[in-house]
Amino acid sequence: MILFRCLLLSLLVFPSGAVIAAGAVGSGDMAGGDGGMNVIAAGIFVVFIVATLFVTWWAATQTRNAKDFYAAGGRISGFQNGLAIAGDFMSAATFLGISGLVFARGIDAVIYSLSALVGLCLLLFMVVEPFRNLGRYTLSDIASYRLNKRLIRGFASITSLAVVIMYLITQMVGAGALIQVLFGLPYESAVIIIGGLMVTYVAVGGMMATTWVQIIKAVLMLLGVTVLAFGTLHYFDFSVIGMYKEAVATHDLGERILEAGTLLQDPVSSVSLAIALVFGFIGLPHILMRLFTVPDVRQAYRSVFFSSCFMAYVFILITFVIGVGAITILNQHPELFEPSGRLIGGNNMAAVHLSQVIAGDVFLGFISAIVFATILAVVAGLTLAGASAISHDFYAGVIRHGKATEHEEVRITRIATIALGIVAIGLGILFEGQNVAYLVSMVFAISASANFPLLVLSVYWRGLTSRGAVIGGSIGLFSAVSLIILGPTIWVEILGNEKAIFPYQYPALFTMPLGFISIILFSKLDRSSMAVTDRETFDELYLDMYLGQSVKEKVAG
Amino acid sequence: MHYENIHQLLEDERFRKVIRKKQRLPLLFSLAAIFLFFGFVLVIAFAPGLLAVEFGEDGVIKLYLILSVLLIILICVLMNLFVTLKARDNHDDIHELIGILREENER
Repeated sequence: MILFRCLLLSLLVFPSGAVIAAGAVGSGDMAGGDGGMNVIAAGIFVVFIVATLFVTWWAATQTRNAKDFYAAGGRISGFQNGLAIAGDFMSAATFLGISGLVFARGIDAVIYSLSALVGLCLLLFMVVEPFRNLGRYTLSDIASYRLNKRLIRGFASITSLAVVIMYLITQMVGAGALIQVLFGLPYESAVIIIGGLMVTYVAVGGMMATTWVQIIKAVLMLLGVTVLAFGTLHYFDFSVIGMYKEAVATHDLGERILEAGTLLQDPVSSVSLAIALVFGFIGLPHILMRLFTVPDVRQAYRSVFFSSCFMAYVFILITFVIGVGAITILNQHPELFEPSGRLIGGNNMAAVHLSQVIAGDVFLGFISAIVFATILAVVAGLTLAGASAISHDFYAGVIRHGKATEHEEVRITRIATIALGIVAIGLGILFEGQNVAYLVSMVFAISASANFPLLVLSVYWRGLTSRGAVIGGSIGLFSAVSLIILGPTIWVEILGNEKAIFPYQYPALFTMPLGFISIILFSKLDRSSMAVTDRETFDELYLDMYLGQSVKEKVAG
Repeated sequence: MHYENIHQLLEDERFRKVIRKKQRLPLLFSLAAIFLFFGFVLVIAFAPGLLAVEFGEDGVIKLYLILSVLLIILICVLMNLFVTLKARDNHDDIHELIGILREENER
């Protein structure tokens, strides 16, 4: 039960490797078959690295100013950016985690697929246009548009950085363990390789390279999932009904794998998880940045729409074909299970094992390489978001009072990227073998309870003040962190206490409304002179948000 | 732009009307998506039995499966519809209004 809960928690992260960390450590080597490194997987992976490094070098020649660096100069097309956004959402845990969870508990895991899609959908409806019209890169850019710049940038850079570092730790730990299993490399070298590549992509190529790495990976992922799903259906002579019948006959839960309620027993946890996933997605810094790599609002819309199509396609195949098919197919191969009945490498390896059973070692190598590429692409995006929080928000906004030159800012971003890389490698090695799933819940809870309310209120509510945003946002942040510490995962499973003080694993159902209410309350109570300016400046933001810069100039002219 | 102009524009009833019209679409679509998704989540959480209804003779195609797939597709359709409707909205109303306002100012 405890292991299962860890698995669930870790699934919160779509690009997570934490999932794998929970199961894979110490399970030995399954990929090579003969105990060595999987040569084909390594070969495909080397090709991927060479290709992406070439792209990075090319991107570096294209990058001249800050806009190029943070937003790829706005030169990515809607279709390409759609692939990149889909790539951010479909990662190792979407692919391995969801298929593994369906393999273990049935189609109830569909909530993870749906939440990601709905998060993207709300992003399209509520956030794309105001953000694009305002022409800002990050959450703190938007909030500081009308609020006290130093205060807000200071606060926003702290939350963004906390989110990015926690997320990076889960990625590093998961990736290290996964690569240990897939390629037979030692954990430390795996973490150092990922850290090194990630720093290279971001520091040298900026957003252009990061986006192209994500695009290449998304195409590989679409291809891999398609072939895997086709192979699975082929195994059942293309009879979906037959596949489901056999899965029901094979699985211990029988018919229950097709029913609701196998994942989370209590209703509050289900609702709270859904809230954390949907609104947490919207507040994640590396997703927001993706809206600026395209030339205009229309392309931003197109990109979000394309990404939803790719995601729906991949989610349907992973959940309803690959996961369900794996139940029957893998259970016919007893050599894939340990004597205890556990799948070698844990349930998250279901899709990887499936690829080997269906199409042999070459395909196994291809799928393994996709998984590695996925982790790399996601950590690169995260690092860029974190580095820009340091340089753009903290250095330029707080230390230099907005007087830093673009050139200076990009230089600081590069330095910050290297620093973040070192921190990520260090923490990745420090946390080796530990269950870091709680960090993932924290990331989403913080994002939903502090970032999301701040984001919505700064563009839609005139009454928001700087003081209200910082005090209320901090309350959202600390309530999310402390309720997770007091919850069953940390308080009981890690600290070994008898009973959890806060009974639910996911606090977002309580902390998100708390975040909203406290920001509103402290803004209303704010009687300072700064508050008056804050409210007045809203008019300008409001106008820009609905008119865009071009129309505004006409009014002025 | 001068500060007085912004307030003047913001308080203009015609401008407010245009903005309200612009806000309607995103609001409607957001509510629809939230309603659909959280409605489904509430059923999963509080009445999972409802989703166990079977279709066909084989007993494996249940309402849960059908609704999940439908919902995934429906969300994509909603997004497509939104993007299509947005593409038609070319700032025309606002441009028109700004033209009128400038003429008024010149007089």
